[in-house]
Amino acid sequence: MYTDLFLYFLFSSFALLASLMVISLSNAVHSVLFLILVFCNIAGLLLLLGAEFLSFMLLIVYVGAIAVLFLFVVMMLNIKKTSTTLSFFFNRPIGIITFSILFNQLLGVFNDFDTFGLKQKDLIWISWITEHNNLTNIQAVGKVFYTKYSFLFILSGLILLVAMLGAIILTMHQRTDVKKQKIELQLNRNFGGSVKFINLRK
Amino acid sequence: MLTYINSTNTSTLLFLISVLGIFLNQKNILVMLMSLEMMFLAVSFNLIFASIHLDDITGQVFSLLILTVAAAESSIGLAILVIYYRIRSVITVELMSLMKG
Amino acid sequence: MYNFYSILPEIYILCNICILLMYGVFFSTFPSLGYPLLNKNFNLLVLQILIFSFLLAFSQTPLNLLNWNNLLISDFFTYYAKLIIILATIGWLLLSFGYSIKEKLNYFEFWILVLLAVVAMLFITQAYDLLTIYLTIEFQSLIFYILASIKRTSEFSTEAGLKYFILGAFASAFLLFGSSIVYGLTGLTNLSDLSKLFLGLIGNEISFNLIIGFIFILVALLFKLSAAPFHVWSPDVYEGAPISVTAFFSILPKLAILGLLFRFLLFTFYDFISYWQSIILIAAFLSILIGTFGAFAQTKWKRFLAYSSINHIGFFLLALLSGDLNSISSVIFYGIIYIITMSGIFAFTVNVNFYAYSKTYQLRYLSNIKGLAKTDPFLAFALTIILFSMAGIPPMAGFFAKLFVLLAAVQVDAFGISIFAVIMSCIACFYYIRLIKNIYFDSVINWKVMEPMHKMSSLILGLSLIGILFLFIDVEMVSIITLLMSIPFLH
Repeated sequence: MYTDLFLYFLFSSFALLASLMVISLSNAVHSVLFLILVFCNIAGLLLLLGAEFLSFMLLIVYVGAIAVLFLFVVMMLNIKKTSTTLSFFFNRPIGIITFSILFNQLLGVFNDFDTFGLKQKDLIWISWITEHNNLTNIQAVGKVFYTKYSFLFILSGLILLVAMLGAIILTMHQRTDVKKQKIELQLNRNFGGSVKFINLRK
Repeated sequence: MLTYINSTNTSTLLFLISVLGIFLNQKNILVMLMSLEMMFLAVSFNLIFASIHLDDITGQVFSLLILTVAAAESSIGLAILVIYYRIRSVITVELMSLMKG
Repeated sequence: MYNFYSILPEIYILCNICILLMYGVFFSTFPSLGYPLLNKNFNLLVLQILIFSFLLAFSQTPLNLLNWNNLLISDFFTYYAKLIIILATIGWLLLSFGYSIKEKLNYFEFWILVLLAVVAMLFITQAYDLLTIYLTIEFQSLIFYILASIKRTSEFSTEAGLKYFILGAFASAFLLFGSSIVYGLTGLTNLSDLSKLFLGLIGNEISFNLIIGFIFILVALLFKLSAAPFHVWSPDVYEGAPISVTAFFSILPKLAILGLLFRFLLFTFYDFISYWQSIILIAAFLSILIGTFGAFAQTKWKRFLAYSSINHIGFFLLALLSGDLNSISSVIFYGIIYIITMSGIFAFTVNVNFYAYSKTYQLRYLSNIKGLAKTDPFLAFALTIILFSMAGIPPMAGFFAKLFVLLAAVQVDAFGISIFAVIMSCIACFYYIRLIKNIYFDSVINWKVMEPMHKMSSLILGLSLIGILFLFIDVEMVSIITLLMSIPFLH
């Protein structure tokens, strides 16, 4: 009964530690690698909860696409280890005040923080009939995503269109001084007059 | 026992660490963009756990849409960062003061 | 449940976007026509599409229905708000005809992004669910991030785009966090379901976590509206973006997000009124204060307009305090007058080009318009009338707008803030009149030579002048529409 609690705390503490490393390292590539570690830990947490479709979606989209995009941009921008001209303690008071105010607000309401399982719990029993007749996560999401929330599905398609347009407008450099081959012209040429017999000797 | 409160603590802490990452950032703007991604991840996790706790599918649908929009937004953010870099050749934070007033 | 009738204008614009994209890509890479620039072509096509969609939206009957599994709503407010947004976009398009050709913004995708932004704003007015609010606001914000940095060889533009992106995405994450807290505690995302849940909850029954979630969402919406103290992005972004894009930012999204704020505050969270009344009061107070005093120290034209629009947003929020029919109708009236005034002043700012030998340069500093009365008296007169309206001097339309807002605020016994708003308006009059003094009474040594304005923008300037000057004859014409628009928010 305590394995899932232990695994939960393992994954969540690794996720929080890795997120602290993301914001405090000076080498950008290390930051991106710790970001990938955060994503993998949260995906593991979601697997524990039973949302397996969303967990693998998170891995595929976040790690496979977004983190790789971050790595491409880090490599392209040639960021060296940045030396800070302002001291490290410059912005710290305001940041810490903001953080502690928000954290106090949110912590003060959650009085039920029971870390070590010292409270009396009920017994868990598993009803195998409902476990067998359940819908899987992907079936449950699919039943509702294309029927009731179909408008949001189409709208997110439009958002992806906007992202594609934005990435192309902002960053595409079409170079005009590069010679390219046009295969369709090469295949379509009329090669009737390309070879000619010349009589050299009369 | 995994309660609702435990996981709200986790996602709230992750969100707050990301907010801290945006404010205390001395290094470069890429760390700000990564903190934005972690904020979206924290909110997605909060929604998925709320949906499992309430036995309602809306949270998981919402989190799938957030995934889509976060991907689109990070691609546009990185495109803007790239064209900013092409002109400036550095991406440190304290030089972003061209328009003061 | 899945009804196409009420979103028919959006579907029309979306089909046109697809056709225009294919047309643009196909023809602009056509080597035998010499890779033509499709800028002017797209201008006129987009104008035609918007005029047809306006006729389509106008010929519908205003329905009252919930659409698409209660994700969208269609009522009187959305019918008229759609018409106003499409009209304002047609006005913006006409005034930016000359600018995009002169400044060589040669992307044809610019106009496609403008059409997509119009679709996004039409969807924002119809949003009725927390998911729809997030997705449509993100849709509009993403397009605005791209538009702010579209001049990719200019340092100002890319820096403005980057700042807007980071702060805007931060606000969207706050919106998401608030809605995840609200969803986690109530299990509902639909705005009408939430209002039924909160019905009659007073006193100690409202749990504290719910208030925190609600405050996160409210902060994010106030950020998108650029109310103080969340206004820090707007002067920098308005300054850095190319000026027709600044006109777009400043004229169009305010009405859509205001409608959303009304639905959110007055319909769903009406029972929390004792909590949000103080927040809106502080936001209105700070907006008017910062908008007035911030504009004093400005020497650049675009930042001046940004601070003045923060001032106007303070007035919008002022009349939200009471939540009855008259105050909502006065806010929408102020919104319409704001759109007309901003169209007028941007018609002036976008198209005025000074010619110093061999180069034309734009209007950038406030001191560039010194001595305008001698070079172009009609333009100086037009600018004077518009500035008087922004300051709130009768009988221009701006005076009536501020009058109705202040009447609505006084009705709820908010005397202190009304007196404060009047005093701040008097102080704001000072710098408007200083500008008018610059136009008329300052003489420069060498007179500025101006190129003639583009014909379309002078049309918009003229129409906005007619609206401002002659509204006092028949105020009923606009206030009937605003009363109709504010009926759905009654409680």
